Amino acid sequence: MAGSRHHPLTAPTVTCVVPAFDAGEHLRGALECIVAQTHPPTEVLVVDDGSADDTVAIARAWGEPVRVIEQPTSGPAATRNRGATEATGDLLAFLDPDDRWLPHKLEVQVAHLTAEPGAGGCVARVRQVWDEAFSEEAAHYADHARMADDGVPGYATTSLLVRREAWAEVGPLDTERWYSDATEWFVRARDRGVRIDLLDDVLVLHRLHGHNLTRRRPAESADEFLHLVHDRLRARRAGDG
Amino acid sequence: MTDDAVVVNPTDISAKVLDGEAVIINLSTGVYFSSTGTGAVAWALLQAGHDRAGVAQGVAERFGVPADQVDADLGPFLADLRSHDLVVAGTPDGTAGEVDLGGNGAGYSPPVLEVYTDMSDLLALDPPMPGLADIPWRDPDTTP
Repeated sequence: MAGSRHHPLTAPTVTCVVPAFDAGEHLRGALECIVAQTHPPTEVLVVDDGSADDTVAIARAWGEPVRVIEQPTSGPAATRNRGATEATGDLLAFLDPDDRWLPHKLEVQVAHLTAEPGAGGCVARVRQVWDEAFSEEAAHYADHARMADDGVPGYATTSLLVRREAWAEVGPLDTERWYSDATEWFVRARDRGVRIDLLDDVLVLHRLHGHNLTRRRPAESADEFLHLVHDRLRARRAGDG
Repeated sequence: MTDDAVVVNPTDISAKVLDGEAVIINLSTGVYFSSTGTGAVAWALLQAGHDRAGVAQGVAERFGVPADQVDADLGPFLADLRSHDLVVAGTPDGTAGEVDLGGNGAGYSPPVLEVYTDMSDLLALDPPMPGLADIPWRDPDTTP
């Protein structure tokens, strides 16, 4: 894809969207790691997806730069889309409440997009870590390729920093998907020639615990990914992928 | 256990037969695979827990060809599956389930595994690792 297709960035502002559903247990930690960024966002949008717990109260009590948006339960993709629609920053980031950014996450990514006007966005490597309560699983998967200390390619919203114009060009997340919405978005970005760079740094910790979305219904989640791949195979055969 | 006794990799793959096509993701590598026709039937039988003889027998019955011919063709296919860690050495536990082998309309041909690496980076993080227990989740439509 051609370079320099995006507007040059000068002192770009960042909006961070935090999609939240019954996230009271993890939300404070997420907000703390957002405001502690060495390049902090100018705007943090906590989009509450109809939580029944104290998620909204925690977010409201935080104050600036956190703004709370409430909606009836609509699913994770619709929640992220709502945040993206309301965002005003030049760049758009997402953090799921149970994940954690390393302090320089935004700084590294902002610097990359500033230096690379041809890139619509960038992701970083993500290290997966088990919560203490899951020592059995941690031991079982200790040697799994996905648990490597240097992480795995983080093609997930929680690792993404994207220009708002590039987000608009790719289009919103598919709200019919509950698990593979981000993967399908990255496939679409690739198909539409929107360059999303993968940085070598580990900048995000993805916590594996009892409330991860993909752990709640592993069979259903796997099924969605298999259908996504199947769609890809069919598109490839039709000469469209 | 014979050298060619294999079972579907219990920890590293997600797989399903969709519209007569076996779709398999290796979750350790993000590489995905496809096998249609004979290969899809063979994969369905493997995934249901059949051993090599059971797979050969099932495929032979489905396509009306001699089981020894199928068995000969299965060798390279199983080797291919093994080389990509989609099956691993092991003996099926003898509780092979029923498999619906009809409906894809293809004639017999030696099974072939197609390999795709174009999404390996995109699939490195998100599909769930197999073996994780189901944890109850509240549906939006049951939210009070």
